[in-house]
Amino acid sequence: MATAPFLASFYFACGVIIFFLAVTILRHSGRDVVNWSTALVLFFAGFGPILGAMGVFLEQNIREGTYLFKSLVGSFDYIWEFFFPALLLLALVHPVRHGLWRYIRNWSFLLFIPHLFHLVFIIFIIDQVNLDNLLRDIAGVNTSSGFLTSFLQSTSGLLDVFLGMLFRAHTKFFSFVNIAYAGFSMLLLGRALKMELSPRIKRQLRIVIGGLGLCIVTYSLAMVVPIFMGQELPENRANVLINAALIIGGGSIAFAIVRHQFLDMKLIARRGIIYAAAAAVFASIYLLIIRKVTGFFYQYSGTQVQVLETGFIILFIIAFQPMLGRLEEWAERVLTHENRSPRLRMRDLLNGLLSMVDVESIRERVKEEMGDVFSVGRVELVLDDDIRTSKEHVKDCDEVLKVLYQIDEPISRRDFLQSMGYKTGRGGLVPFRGGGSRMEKIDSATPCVKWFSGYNLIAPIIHDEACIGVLLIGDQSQNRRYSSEELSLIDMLTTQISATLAKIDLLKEVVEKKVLEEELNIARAIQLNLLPSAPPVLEEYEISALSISSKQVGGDYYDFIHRDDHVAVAVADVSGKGVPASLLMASLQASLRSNMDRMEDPVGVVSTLNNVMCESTAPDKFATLFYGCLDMKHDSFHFSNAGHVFPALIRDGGKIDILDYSGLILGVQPDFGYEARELKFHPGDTLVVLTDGVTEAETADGELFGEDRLYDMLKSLRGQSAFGVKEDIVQTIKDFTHPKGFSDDLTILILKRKE
Amino acid sequence: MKLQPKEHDGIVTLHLQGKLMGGPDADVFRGTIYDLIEQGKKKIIVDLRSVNWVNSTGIGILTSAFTTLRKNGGDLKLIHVSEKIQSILYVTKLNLIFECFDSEEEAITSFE
Repeated sequence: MATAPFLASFYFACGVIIFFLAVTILRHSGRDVVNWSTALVLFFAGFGPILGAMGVFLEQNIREGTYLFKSLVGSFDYIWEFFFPALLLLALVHPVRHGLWRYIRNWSFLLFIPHLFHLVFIIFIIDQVNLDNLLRDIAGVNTSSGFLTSFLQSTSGLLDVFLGMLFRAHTKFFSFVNIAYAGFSMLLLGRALKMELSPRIKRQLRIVIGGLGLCIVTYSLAMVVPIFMGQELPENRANVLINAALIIGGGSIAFAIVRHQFLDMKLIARRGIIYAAAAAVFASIYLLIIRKVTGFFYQYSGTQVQVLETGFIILFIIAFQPMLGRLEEWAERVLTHENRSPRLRMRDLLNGLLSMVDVESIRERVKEEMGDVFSVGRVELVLDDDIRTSKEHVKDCDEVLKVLYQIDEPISRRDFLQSMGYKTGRGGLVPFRGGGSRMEKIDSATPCVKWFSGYNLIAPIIHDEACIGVLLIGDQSQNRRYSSEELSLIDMLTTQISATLAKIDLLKEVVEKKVLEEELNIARAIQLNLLPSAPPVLEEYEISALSISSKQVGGDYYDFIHRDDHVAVAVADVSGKGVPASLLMASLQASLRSNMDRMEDPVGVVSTLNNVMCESTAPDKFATLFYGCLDMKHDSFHFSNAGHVFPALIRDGGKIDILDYSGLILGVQPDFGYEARELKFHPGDTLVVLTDGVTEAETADGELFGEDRLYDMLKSLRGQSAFGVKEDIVQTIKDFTHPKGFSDDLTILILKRKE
Repeated sequence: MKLQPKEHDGIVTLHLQGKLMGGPDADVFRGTIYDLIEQGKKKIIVDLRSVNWVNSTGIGILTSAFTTLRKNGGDLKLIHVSEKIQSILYVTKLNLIFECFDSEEEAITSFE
């Protein structure tokens, strides 16, 4: 058996690698069902060869040693058979969750039941055999009870024969169960392969399916074929085949993962070294210090201090994780040539993106850093808007983005072209498209495909169930391969870009809202500036005015202009709100003020304003205007009205005169013939000019304040100062509309002759 | 607001409802008028039977529709105008501009 040590080492090496990969996956991200089922498969696939190696080793060296130990290893030998149910579990969840998974997700342990039963059964038999031997030994030693001995011997003999038969039948036929599990798994994976879109996962699946096929064949050769042939293989030969099957099966999955999945061989190796180093450090601390310390204690106290050892182990467990992290960082710094590893630089880039608020700086930063980190010359960040604005590319880009959304991970140029329906040639060259006799050169590809395939790696940026852009990395001619770690970093980067873009969009919205608010504030400022700051102080008359806007910017306006013995008053209601209304108001005010050389001629003023409004404003802009001019020498008031709510004059005796003349509202018909009216102010007479915000003030139930209430209120205000009248009106309206508040703008102008 | 446009010999009657006081209803009305002008339908009757109140904004909307139609060679007439609204039209002197009728038939014949 010269091959035995070699075989044992081979088993051991393969087993440890596969086993180790399982542990790493579990440590890396063990929560996901795909990950832990993969880990489980690899764990059992690795377990078999390790035990196999131990078996060979034991056979070689402890041939005459303890029978018990060997049989114990033998019984654990069957644990590897859990490889098959674990495989089925993996096939159910990868690459997509199978429909069945919904029903069994909480019952997935049921898949393991036959094997669990199998294991228990085997251990039971082996233990029986051991017990049997033990009894025989006892019987041999102790001859005092002849009856017991003979009974035991005969019983154990019978049991031996019976269980032995059952054992053989079971072990032989259980292999069919295993093959059924493996076959079903292959079927599921085969179906998934057909439906899978991503070329990477397709390749991964092909490797796994191929490996599993070979695994089943090898396993059958060991277990099933001999049954049909009617003869048994020698045990060691069967063991070789079984271990080969496990190494092929587990190895193919491991290879597929390392080659085409999320883990990087370099990363695993680096981690391996670090874990080993950490373990060695801890072991040496244990051996060098703890043992000595306990020995020291033992010397003096005469008792073993187990607490110290336990304490150390607990400390070790607690310190293990953070220490490993530190060690890893330290190793990275020491081992890599660059000052900072791509991972750390990428982390900085991701953090940097978080604080960015415009697309251009993201583009620049990504270009710069990516070029540096991955040493590629060309990097391009293409976003939805870029595609939309570039005329030549827009046509087929939607189609391309849809496919990239399906793929949802960075892919190589070759895979990209394949996904777009191009045949791939050797060495990543892609000369033709289509099948059969019709061949198409890549030069004739649609612009977007051509554009993207100019790069080595195409990473889609996904947001809200759509591909909103792509990150194109590296010139096509470079033909550089990206490691799994690099790919996962790029994947993280595109996710971050997507999140940052979403944030920028939100920010834009907020800013736009702010701008709008600011605009309204400007309009409000214009409006407030248009209103006169304080009424003129007159000898015999009082003026008080107020304008309240229901919203930020209203459409009401009032003015008074005092010149010598004359005071002109105007109240207007401009249609519309916001900035356009305030601009209209500004032009109205300018026109009004520029016409004050003839302030005593109301018809002239109103007609001019009407013509200005008709000529210079949009067809849907109107204004109502009440304009009047008071001659304080003669106490006469000339006024005209362009569609404004009729003002009221409260006579000193309490009688109310309605100034019921009105012409057409301003801005409808040029050269409308307005008329003027005249009234005399007696001491105590009060003129009240309002806008329709007063009569249309509304309660929560929709009841209007109305004219009747207005006139009743005005009557009660007799004798008050102009300021008092104004305040009372406002208060009354406030009370009336409480708790709803004003719904329209409210403007009041009071002109009173002192008593 | 539902406008329920009815067409009769190229004359469209719009049936307004509720309060004509600006807001989204005003936009619907304005939009409908512009649509009709685009379709070449410039003779429009507005039925105010179900409109109980009009404020200055509402008046603006009607007037704007009127001036827009006039500029495009069309006309706008009102029917079933309530007293309240008539008083507003009187104050604003829009009664001089808007022709008001008691029935749709009268309004239609006035177009001829």
